[in-house]
Order: sequence, then C-alpha cells, then structure tokens
Amino acid sequence: MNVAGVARARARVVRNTLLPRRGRPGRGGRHPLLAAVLALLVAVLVGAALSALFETLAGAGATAARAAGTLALVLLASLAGLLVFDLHDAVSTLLLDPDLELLRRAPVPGIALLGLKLADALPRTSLLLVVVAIPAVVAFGLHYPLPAWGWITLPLQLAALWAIPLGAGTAAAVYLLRRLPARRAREALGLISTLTLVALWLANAFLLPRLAEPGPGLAPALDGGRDGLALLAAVSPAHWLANAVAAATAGQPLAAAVATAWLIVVAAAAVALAAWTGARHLGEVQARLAAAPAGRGRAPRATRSARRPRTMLGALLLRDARLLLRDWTVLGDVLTAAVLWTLLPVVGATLHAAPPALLARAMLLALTVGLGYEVAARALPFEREAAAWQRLAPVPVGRWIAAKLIGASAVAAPLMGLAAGTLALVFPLPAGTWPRLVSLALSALWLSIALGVWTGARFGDPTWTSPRAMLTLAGRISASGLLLAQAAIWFWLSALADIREAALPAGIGLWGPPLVGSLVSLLPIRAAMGRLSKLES
Amino acid sequence: MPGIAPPLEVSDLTRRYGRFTAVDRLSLVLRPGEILGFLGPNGAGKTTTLRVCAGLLRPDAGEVRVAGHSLAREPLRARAKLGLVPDRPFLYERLSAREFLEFIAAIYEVPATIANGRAEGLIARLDLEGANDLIETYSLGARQKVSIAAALLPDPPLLMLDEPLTGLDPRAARALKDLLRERAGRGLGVLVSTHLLEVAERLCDRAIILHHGRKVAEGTLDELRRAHGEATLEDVFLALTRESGEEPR
Ligand SMILES: Nc1ncnc2c1ncn2[C@@H]1O[C@H](COP(=O)(O)OP(=O)(O)OP(=O)(O)O)[C@@H](O)[C@H]1O
Ligand SMILES: [Mg+2]
Repeated sequence: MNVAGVARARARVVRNTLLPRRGRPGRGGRHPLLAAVLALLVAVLVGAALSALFETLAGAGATAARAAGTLALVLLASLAGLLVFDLHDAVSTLLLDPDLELLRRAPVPGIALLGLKLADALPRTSLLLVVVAIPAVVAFGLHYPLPAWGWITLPLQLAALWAIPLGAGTAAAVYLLRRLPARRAREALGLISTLTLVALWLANAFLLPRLAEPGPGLAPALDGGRDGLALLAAVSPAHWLANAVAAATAGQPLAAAVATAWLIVVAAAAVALAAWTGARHLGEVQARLAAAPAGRGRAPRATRSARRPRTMLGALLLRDARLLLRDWTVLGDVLTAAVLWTLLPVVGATLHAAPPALLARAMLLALTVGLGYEVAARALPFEREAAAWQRLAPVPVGRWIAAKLIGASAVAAPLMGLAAGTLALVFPLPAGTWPRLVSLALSALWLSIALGVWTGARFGDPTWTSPRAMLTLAGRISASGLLLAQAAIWFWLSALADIREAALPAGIGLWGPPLVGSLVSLLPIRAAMGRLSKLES
Repeated sequence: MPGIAPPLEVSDLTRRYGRFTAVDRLSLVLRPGEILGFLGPNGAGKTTTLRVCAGLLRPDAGEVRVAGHSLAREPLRARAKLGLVPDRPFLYERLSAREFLEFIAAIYEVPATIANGRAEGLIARLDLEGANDLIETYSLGARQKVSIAAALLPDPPLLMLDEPLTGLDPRAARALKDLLRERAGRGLGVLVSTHLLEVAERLCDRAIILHHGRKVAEGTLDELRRAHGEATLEDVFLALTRESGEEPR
C-alpha cells in the first residue's frame, strides 16, 4: 500500500475542507473552523458549570472520593454518548462514505482501510471527550488539587476512555451490519444518537444542578443507592478514571496505578476486538453492502388504498405527511429538537431562581420560535430536487406555500400542546394566566412558522445530507438570528404589556399577539411566494 | 388548420448563463400530431431549451407559447398543457410509484377515476414492476419509467422528453416509442431531444439540429439528407456540427 500517497490525498482533503477554494462557497453544511470554535465554547461552558458544582461540593466539605462519584457519573454519561455516536459513525462510514468504495478497490487490506476511515472520523468521534469529559476532569482538578504526576497521567487515562467506546462501537457496527438491513440499522442508530443527545441534555439541565443543591438534594439519594452504584462502579471505566483521579488527589499512587491499569487493559482489549472483528468480517460485510446497495422497502399498502386526496391541497399535505413519517431520522430529529428548545430556558433559570410564570412563558416562547426553525424551515428543502414540480405543474405558488404553512402547523401545534400540558402540570400557575399565555404562544408560533418557510425558500439546500443542515450555513446563521430576535421581541412585548396593563386597552394580552403575529407574518409569506416563483432549476 | 394552436411555438428564444449564451435566438414550431427530433452535440443547448420551454428556467429574451398560451403571461394555463421528462427525474424517494402518480394526478387536477385507469395503463405498458415499493429502491430504468409515466399521466397537448431512452431496456424503449407514436396519431405534439440518430431517424417526422445554441438545420429527414447531399442523417449531423478548423471527413 502506498502509504505516502494515501496520506498526501488525506492531507489535501483536509485542507480543502478547512479552507474552501476561493469563489466556491463550500456547499452548505460543513464549516469545521466554526464547529471547532463552537465546540470550544461549549467545552468552556460545561467546564464552568462543573467547576461551580465541584466548588459547592468542596465548600460543603465533601471528600475527594465523594466528589469523584459525581465526576464518575458525568464521565459515564459521556462514555455512553461516545459509544452510541461511535457506533453510528462507524455504521455510516461503512455504508455511505463515497471514497470507501474507491479505497476498497485499491490493494489495501480491509482493516487498514477501516483504520483510515476512523482516523478521518476522529474530530467527530472525540467531540464528547472535548466538550464533556476533559472539562469535567479539569473542573474537578481545580477544586480537588491534583499532584503533578496526576496531571501527567491524565492524557493517557482520557485516551483510554476514548478508545474503549471507539473499539467497542466499531466491532458492534461490523456485527450489526452482518445481520441487519443496512439502511434500517443506520436510521435506527441515527435516532438513538439523537435520543442520547436529549438524555445528556436532560441530565445536564436537571440532574447536575440538583447534585449541588444544599440540604436534602440528590446527593444523599445517591448515597442511599450506594449498593447498586457499587456494582456499577466496579465495572464502569468512567468510575475507574474518576477513582484514579481521586486517588491522585489523595496522594495514593498505587491505587491510581491500579485504576489506570484497568482502563488501559480494557481499552487495549476493545481496540483488539475491533481489529479482530474487522479482519475477520469486514470483507463479508462490504460484499453484502455492495450486493444490496439500498435495502428494499415497501410502502405500506394500507395507507395507499385508505387515503385518497380529493383536492390539490389535500394531495400536497398527504405527500408531506408520508414523506415525513417515512423518514424517521428527520422526524426523530424534529421531536428531539422540540424537547431541547423547551428545556433551553431551564438551563438559564437554574442559576437565577425565576418566577414560575415568567419561566413558563420563556419555555413556551423558546419552543415556538424553535419549532419555526426546526419544522417550517425544513418544509421546502425537505423535498430536495423534486420541488421542481412546483414550477412544472400548474399549481399556484400560494397553494404550495399554504400547504407548507398548514403542514408545519400540523406538526408543530401538537408538540406545543404537549409542552404546554407538561408545563401546566409542572408550574402551578393561576388559571387566569393561561389564556393569555396560549394566545401569545400561538401567535408567536404562526409568525415563526411563516418566517421558517421563508428561510427554507431563501436558504434551502436541496442537496442536504444531514437532517440538521437542510439550510446553507448562511441560512442557519440568519435563521438563528431571526430566532433570537423573535424570542426577545415577543418576550419584551409581553413583559411591557404586563407592566403597562392599566394604561393599555382592555384584554390586549388576549387579542394583541394574534393581531401582531398575523399582520407581521404577511411579510415573510409574501417574500416566500416571490422567492419560489423566481427560483430556477 | 385555423383554430388549433400549435402545441409549442418558440420565437427568438435566448438564454444565457452569466455571459455565456447557451441558446441563441432560437425559433421553432411544433405542429399538432408531429414528433420533432431535437438533435445536437453535447452542450448544444438542448436541455436548456427544454427547461426554458417547461418554465423551469426563465428566458433572457424571446417567447414561448404552449398550446396558444404564453408561458410568461399565463403560466398556469401554459403549464397545464405541457409535460416534461427531464434528463434527471424529479422524484420523491419515499413515495411508491403509485403514490407518486396519484400525487401528480392531483396537482394536475386529473379526475381520480380517469387518473387511476391511466396510471394502471402506463404501469402495465411500461412494465413497471414493484409499483408499490418506495422509489428509493428503484433501478435507473425504473426511475425513468416513473418519470415518463408522470409526464404522460395528465395527457398534455405538448410532451417534451430529454434523452428519454436513458436507462431503458429494449422492451421499455419500444413501449415508449409506441406510446409517442400513438400520441402523435391523436394530434398531440412531441418534442424529443436525443443523441441517438437511429432513434431520430425511425421515430421523428422532422428534426432540428442545434449547435452552440443556434439552429443549424431543420426539416424532414429526407429534406435534411437531400439539402446536404449526404447519405445518412449521421453524415448530415457530423457535417453540420463540425468544429471550425476540424478536417471534413
Ligand atoms: N447551470 C449552468 N451554468 C452555466 N452553464 C451551464 C449551465 N447549464 C448548462 N450550461 C452550459 O450551457 C450549454 C448548454 O447546456 P445543455 O445542458 O443545454 O446542453 P445539451 O445540449 O443538453 O447537452 P447534452 O447533450 O450533453 O445533454 C453547455 O455549454 C453547458 O456547459
Ligand atoms: Mg442535455
């Protein structure tokens, strides 16, 4: 194998990705420099939050061993996340990578090839390590001082922690693809990855702050569950790492060495397992994938005969419903995003105790403006090249846009209803505040859907590959700006209405938002129609 | 024939990409009941012309009339009268062929009872297997069949096909040619772009040869052969589309 040649080609690919050629604005999506900056930002935020947590624990007199238990939980969460993401990534790489086919025909042994591809994937597979695990350990080390040798062995321990899920995930990917239909496997893993992300987010938003709570918080409960945890601690690499760090803090080199040795042995075993599995089964898996490039899927007959659209609008809506329901990577992503948006304000609110009414309003507003982006902005680019039918068929452009607005509302409204119901259970608000809250949320939802449809028409990328990047980068940035502006303006307007209630016309909290929302939404709707009728293909 | 507008009338059509002129002052008339071959080397501007005539691209100058309706001024009426089989099919990957045809029928407002019969007829004639499977599982040829069926389903007065034989096996190619002949027999217009000169020779009543965006010849096949003193359409084609500086064969 011409190692130098392959390495040169890799370097060229990396350079072209990082520094797009002048004049060619890299096709939507990839912007590694921006991604790196964002990752760093998240890492700093997580580090700061955890640092506050460990400071609280240290202040309350918790021992290093006790705090290490908390550290272990954080590391365990990132380990679980890493495992899922690595598995997903390895499966996607084996399935989709366009140059895998090319490399396969080159005289490269299967296992070297897998190694190459996984090396390519390194920046993605190590993301959780960078944004969670490393900040967590560093935050711990700030409040439970580590001796110098503790810091020196840390990279080795973290590398082992990173190698374990990578090896296990790769081996599992090869096994999975030997047995399951390829496309289903990838979709299922896509959904699981997204759900894992939610779980991590939930843990971050709800559990972590509780750990630091004074008084009867979660920490005693954790202590109470010690027996169950002891078993977990014995087998969890995250706990070995945490114990090694705690031992270093306590000045016990022997205990630290034992825990580190465990980590390294298991990491070596995981990598060996991946290598062995790859050497043994990779050829077979690739032959299987080459023989069946796309698993045959059948459209369920029932939906075909049962529902027959009567009108053009009905046909447009039925098509969108079928396309969305059959693409569970996109559907799962939408649902997950809805949960994340709702919870967004909670993260901020745990720091400053906000009054429930304000928090409920902020959560609902965050969800509504978020949904405009998550659902409505995807409605047009979701069709990819087939959107050309809008210009080919005798369909008035208003009808097409109306279908998108109705369809997006039909997806978004139930999600919002669900969120509002949950909030009603969580926050015991006076009954009188609900009509105004609902009026505000529905108006904001309608406007944000109209703006979302416009962003999709303006910035949609019909060649998207990741469901999270159906807009060009410029589009995602503009959409984020629009989101922030909407949330801020609605929040500010409603706060103003609260303060000036006496001076304003009666009931403005009820009819004001729908009036503003429907009037302002005319602008993006008109712009979207204009844009669609001007598009070419 | 007064009263019957030609399925397609193009006058002085120009389309540029930036400073590059892809179609240069092209005029043509497609008569009812005629199959017009649209020939030309790679990059001659055939696809661009068809896309402009279908309303997918805007012309920089000139006019397109479909069955008497101006594409620029009455776009919905004009579009209702035309069907296009594009060079790359526009399909929804996660619909089945039947669902897709049902969708096409609805947006062209073909009454459901008629649409159903036509869709089944086309599926049978084009020998489209697995019409209930998702399109994402289809082979190249099967996709092309779906694309052809979708264009034929509304039975428009003007049918334009861009390299329609791509991916079709001999049986399907034959079925398509028969379908086009039958349409012409009913007085409908067909404009078909192709590289395959034998196909043009067998199928078309008339042909237009395009070169660098300009029309370099037009006429029935006999007329073309006679006017250029060449034995076959291939000779005519090669003679007309020879690059300057290239030796005549
Ligand atoms: N989007 C575009 N941007 C710039 N130039 C284009 C674009 N599309 C086509 N062209 C150019 O316009 C010319 C005509 O292209 P067109 O696709 O119409 O040719 P064609 O006759 O269909 O060729 P082929 O037989 O290869 O399909 C070519 O020179 C092509 O490079
Ligand atoms: Mg072409």
